[in-house]
Amino acid sequence: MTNRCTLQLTVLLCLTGAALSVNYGKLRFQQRSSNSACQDLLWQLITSPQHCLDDRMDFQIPKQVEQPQQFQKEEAMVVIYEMLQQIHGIFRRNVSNAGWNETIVENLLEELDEQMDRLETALEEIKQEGKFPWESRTVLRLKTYYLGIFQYLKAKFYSRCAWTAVQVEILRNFFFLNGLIGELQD
Amino acid sequence: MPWARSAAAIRLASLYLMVHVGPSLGAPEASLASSDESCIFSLALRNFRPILSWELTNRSIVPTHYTLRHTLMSKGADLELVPGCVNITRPSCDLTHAWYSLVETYLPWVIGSRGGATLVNCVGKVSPVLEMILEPPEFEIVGFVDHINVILKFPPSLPKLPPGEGLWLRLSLSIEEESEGIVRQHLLKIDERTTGNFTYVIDKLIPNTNYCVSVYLKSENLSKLLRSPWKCTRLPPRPESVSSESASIGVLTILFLMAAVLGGAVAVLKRIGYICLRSKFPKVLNFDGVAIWAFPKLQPLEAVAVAEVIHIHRKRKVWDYSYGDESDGDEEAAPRGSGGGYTMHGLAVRALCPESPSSATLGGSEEAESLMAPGPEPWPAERTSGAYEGKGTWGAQRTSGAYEGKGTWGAQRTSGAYEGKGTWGAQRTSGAYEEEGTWPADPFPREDSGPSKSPGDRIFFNVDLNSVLVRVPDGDGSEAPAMLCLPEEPVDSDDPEDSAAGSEDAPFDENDTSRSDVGIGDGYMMR
Repeated sequence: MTNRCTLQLTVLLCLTGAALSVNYGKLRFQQRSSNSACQDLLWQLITSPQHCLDDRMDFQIPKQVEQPQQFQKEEAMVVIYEMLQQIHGIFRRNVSNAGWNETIVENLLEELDEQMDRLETALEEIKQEGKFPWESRTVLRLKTYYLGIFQYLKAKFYSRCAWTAVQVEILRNFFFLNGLIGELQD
Repeated sequence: MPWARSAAAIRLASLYLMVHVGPSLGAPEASLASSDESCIFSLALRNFRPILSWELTNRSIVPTHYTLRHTLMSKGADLELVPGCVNITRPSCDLTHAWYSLVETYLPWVIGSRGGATLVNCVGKVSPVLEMILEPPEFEIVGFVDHINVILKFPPSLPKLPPGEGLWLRLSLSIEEESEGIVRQHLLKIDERTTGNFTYVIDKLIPNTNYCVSVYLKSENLSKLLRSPWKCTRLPPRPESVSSESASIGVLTILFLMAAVLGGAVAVLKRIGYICLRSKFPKVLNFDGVAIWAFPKLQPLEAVAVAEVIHIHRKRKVWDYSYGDESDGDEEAAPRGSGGGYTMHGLAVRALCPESPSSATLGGSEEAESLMAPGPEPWPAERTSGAYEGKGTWGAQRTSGAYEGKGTWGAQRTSGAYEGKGTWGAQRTSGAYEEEGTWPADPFPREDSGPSKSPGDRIFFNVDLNSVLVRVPDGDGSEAPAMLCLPEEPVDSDDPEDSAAGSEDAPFDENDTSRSDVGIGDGYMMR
């Protein structure tokens, strides 16, 4: 009798653990779908870039982001979250002055929020497992990178062409995010 | 900053060309600043080459020549002419060696002219990752009975690009086959080795069925793809399918008849008992578990010489009323198989008494002499025709005239097998006997008249089936047994008694008291 109860409890715990643990396959699919939507929305925001050839800027994104194969699952998750958080912060600034379609911007921000919400659940799990990469050099370099973007916008007085240049750069960011999402394996 | 210097040099060179060379080339007066967005650009990956095509929104304007320039948005690069796309007549350009990265946002600038006049000055923005269309490769299908060959036509070689460069990287080819609403997908990896014609076999198909095939390219980063038109074929039927039904019916009928015949044969054989015999015997015939003690234990065998049955052909001897002629018998040595005497037939017995007038009855005496068994030594195990065995062992095989040792009779007594010590066999012909452990004296003594010790020698004795004397020993082993003198009965052909006796060749029945005229007192029994 005792053995039977123990067996049942063990099975129940295993099933509960499996149900509560993150399904990384589903997470990858959701993140990629959301990324694709963000790219389409951002592409609609970019207009007449041929007039802003003089405001083009090479912001020099970290090489590690361009080649994400070196990341482990936990660090890739942290890097993705940092990038989404920074992009969300960029588009939250001075939206009205840019003359953009506000609906498109709002949809973009919603997509970014959903992506971050899904990642927070997974980040909590790796924190509990003690695998959170508190000291990630890539995250530090990203912070520097996005600081440079903010400074560029500030220096260009958030002009239209400056925003165009930033949009083009963020469009490249979403492409690199797709590569990082591919590292979220079970 | 070498990059900045090169950019400045290129800018100056372009400006020089526009000023000095441009007019000779029909360079447009338009500039980028005056360009508009009157062109619709489309980028397609065709045979692993990015092809940029443009279409004018105002179809009334039809330039005769086009010139294409391009630049990147992520870097401060100048507008550059695309090699091979200067003053071209077609509204498309191969950008294999100009556009390498999927990540970049490219700005194409097209100037269309007719004669010396600029008719079109359009610029656009193109993002390969968002807008490049993956065109499917060309292919053909060949249908067989149960499979389809899909012949894919790839370019003979891929464009030579720096490592890791190229818009066609990380692609896969999907082949879909559809039949009766069911679609199956086959995925093939594409890499640098995928060149030339390639045949993919779709097998495990149903004959005499319609199948349609379509192919398209897939990529993890590119979402816009173009599916090829469906190509359909009907698979031919199997060669034997026309008469397959009748053939199958015939085969089934034959199988049924064979099974019926076989079953009937088995039933008949079982009925007649040829097979599957019942092994259940009546209980009275079941000897399993019957105690061995029910059968008398065989007495240990006494070593005797091997008896060899000798066929005796007795010639009826006509008494010639010659009483004193003893030499006849002596001289008359019946050759083996001769008409005057006995022939060796097999069973070796004791030689006759020396004074016996009919020593010839030994028949083949010389042969008997030579065949006399040795002393009490073992004989070879296997002997036929009544082989005789020495003391201690018996031959394993005893046929006619088998001799048995002390105490027992052999199971089969035909031509005069008899017994050694203890009992005499009822049937004895020419007086041959044996004592336990010893051999009788040689009736034809030789210089070494003692019994031959050689195991190869054999003793023959003549067994007269008409007269059998059985001697019962008195029990005193020390007493040498008297020689048994066989009554010599010349065979008179006219004597009816002899005829009657001669006919009595049947084995002696020991228990036939009606025949025995035995006087036991002397130890002899006469038949």
